[in-house]
Amino acid sequence: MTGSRPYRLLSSFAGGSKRSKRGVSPIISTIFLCTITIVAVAAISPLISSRLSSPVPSIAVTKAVLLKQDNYLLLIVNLKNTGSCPLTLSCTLYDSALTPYSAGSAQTIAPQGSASFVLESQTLGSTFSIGNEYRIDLTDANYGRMAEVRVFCMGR
Amino acid sequence: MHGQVSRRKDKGIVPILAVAVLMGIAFLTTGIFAVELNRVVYNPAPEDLIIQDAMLMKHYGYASFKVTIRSNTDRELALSVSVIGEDGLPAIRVDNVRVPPRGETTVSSSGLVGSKFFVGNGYAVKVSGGSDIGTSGVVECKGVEFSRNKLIILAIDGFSAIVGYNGVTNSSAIVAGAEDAAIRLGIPYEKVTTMSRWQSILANPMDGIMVINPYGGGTPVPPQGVDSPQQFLRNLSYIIGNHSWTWVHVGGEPFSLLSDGSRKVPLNSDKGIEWFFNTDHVTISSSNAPMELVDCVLTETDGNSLNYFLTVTNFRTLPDEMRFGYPIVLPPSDLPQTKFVFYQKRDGDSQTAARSFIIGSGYYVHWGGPSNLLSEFETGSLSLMLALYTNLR
Repeated sequence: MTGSRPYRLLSSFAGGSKRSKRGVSPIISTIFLCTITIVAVAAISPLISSRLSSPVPSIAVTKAVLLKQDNYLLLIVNLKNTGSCPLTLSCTLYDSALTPYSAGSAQTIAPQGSASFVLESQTLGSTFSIGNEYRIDLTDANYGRMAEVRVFCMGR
Repeated sequence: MHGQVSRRKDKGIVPILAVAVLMGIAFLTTGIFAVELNRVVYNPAPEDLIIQDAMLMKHYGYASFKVTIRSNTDRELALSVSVIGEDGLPAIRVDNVRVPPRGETTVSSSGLVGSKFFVGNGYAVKVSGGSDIGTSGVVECKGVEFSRNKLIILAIDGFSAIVGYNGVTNSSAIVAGAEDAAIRLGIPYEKVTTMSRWQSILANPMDGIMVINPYGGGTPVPPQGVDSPQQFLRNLSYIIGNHSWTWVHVGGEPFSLLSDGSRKVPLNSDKGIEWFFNTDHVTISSSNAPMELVDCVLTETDGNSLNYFLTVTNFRTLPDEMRFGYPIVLPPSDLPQTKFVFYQKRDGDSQTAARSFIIGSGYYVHWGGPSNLLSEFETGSLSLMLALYTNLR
C-alpha cells in the first residue's frame, strides 16, 4: 500500500509541504527585508533629496492696494517668499498705456521672509482712474517674472 | 503537529522585531521627508495689517485723527501712520506706533491741521512698517468748516523783484499773514510758487477758489497777458464771474503792472481796473484821507461773521479809522455792484478803501493798502477774512 503510486505521490506532496513550511529562516527573511528597505530608501533618497534641495522660487502676494487722491497716488504691495531660495524682487506698476512705474528699488527677500513695496507720488494720480484695473509685475533678477497682479484703483 | 507549533512560537519574536525595525525605518524616512516637504510648502496664514477703524474729525482749523490697526503677524511691529492731506503731502504723521503680535493698537493725533482737509472728502491713510509690511485705507473727513472754497496764494519765486514796489513793500509778509489766517480758519490753501502752475490754474480754472495776489498792483500773468493786457484782464474777469472765483487785491493800483516773470507791461493808472470791471469810470485815488470802519460788518457774531473770524485768528480789534494809500473811487452809476463796504470815507461811499464787488458769480475784494495802522502780515490775514466774509454772507 505504501509502495503504491498514489501514496508515494501523496507522501511526496506531504514531504514537500513539510519542507516548504520550514521556509527561509526568520533571521534571513528579516535581514532580507531590511536590506530591501534600505536599498529602496537609498535608491529613492537621492532622487527626492535632489528635488527638495534644488531651489524652488515662489512668492505669495498678500496685499496689493492702489489709492488715488487727486494727483496723489499710493501703491502698497506686500508679499512673502514662499519658496526655498532667496529672491531679489522688483515691483512695477503699469498705467493703462503700459508705461512702467517702479515701486522703489529691488529688495532681496530670504525664504519665508516678507517685503513691502511702496510707490508714492504727488503727481501720478492724474495718470490713473478710479475703478480701473491696473497691472503690477513682480520680477526676480534671476528667475524673471514671478507674479502678475491686477489691482483696482480706489480713492477719489 | 504540536511540536511544530511550539517551534514556530519559540522563534516568532524575530518577525515581530523585523516588523518593528521596518516600521521604525519607515517612520524615520517619512519623518525626514515630511520635515523637508513641510519646509518648502508650509504656508501659514498670510501676514497682514488691517486698518480696523479710522476717524478724521475737523473743527475749523483743528483736526483730530484716530485709527485702530490690527496685526496678523507673530512679531511686534513698529509702524508709521500718516494721513495725506488735500495737497498730497502727509498732513498728520505718527511714528513708532507699536502693535503687539496678533494684537491691535489705537493711536490718535490732533493739531492745527484742519486746513489740510475738506469735510466730506476721503483721505488716504498710509501705514508702513519698514520695508516688509504696510497697508493703506481711506478715511472720510467729518466735522465743521467755514468754506469748501480752496485758497490760492500767489507766491511766485522771484516775482516781487521783477515787479518792484506796487503798493506792497514785502509780499512775503502778506503771504505769511494769509497763510497764518488760512491755517487758523482751516481753509485749505495752495501756495503757487511757479508761473507755470499759475498759468495752468488760469487755463483750467476750478470752481470757487479764492486768489490772494500779494504783489499789489503787480499781477502775474501768462505771456499772452503781457502781449494783450486788456484781453487778459477781460478774460480774468470772465473766469472770476463764471467760476465763482474771489480775487483779493491787497494794495496799490490794481492791475497796474502785468508780468509773465520775464517781461512786464505797465498800464496807465486806472486802466487795468477799468478793463477788469469793463467800465471807464473807476478811479484809484491817492488821497490818503481817513477812512472809517463800517460798523455793520461787525454786528453779527455767528459762525461765519467777520467778528468770529477775527476771534478765531486772534486778530486785534479792527481800527475804527485808518488811512489808506489807494482807495477806490466809484462811478456815479455805482458799477460794478457792491457786496460789502468795510472802510469808507466819512462823507459818503463814493470813495472807499476796502470794499468787495460782485463779478458775475464771483467777487473782487479791494483792499486799498498800504494802511497806516496794519502791518503787511495783518493785511494778508485780514484780506483772507474779508474774502471769506464776502463769500459766505
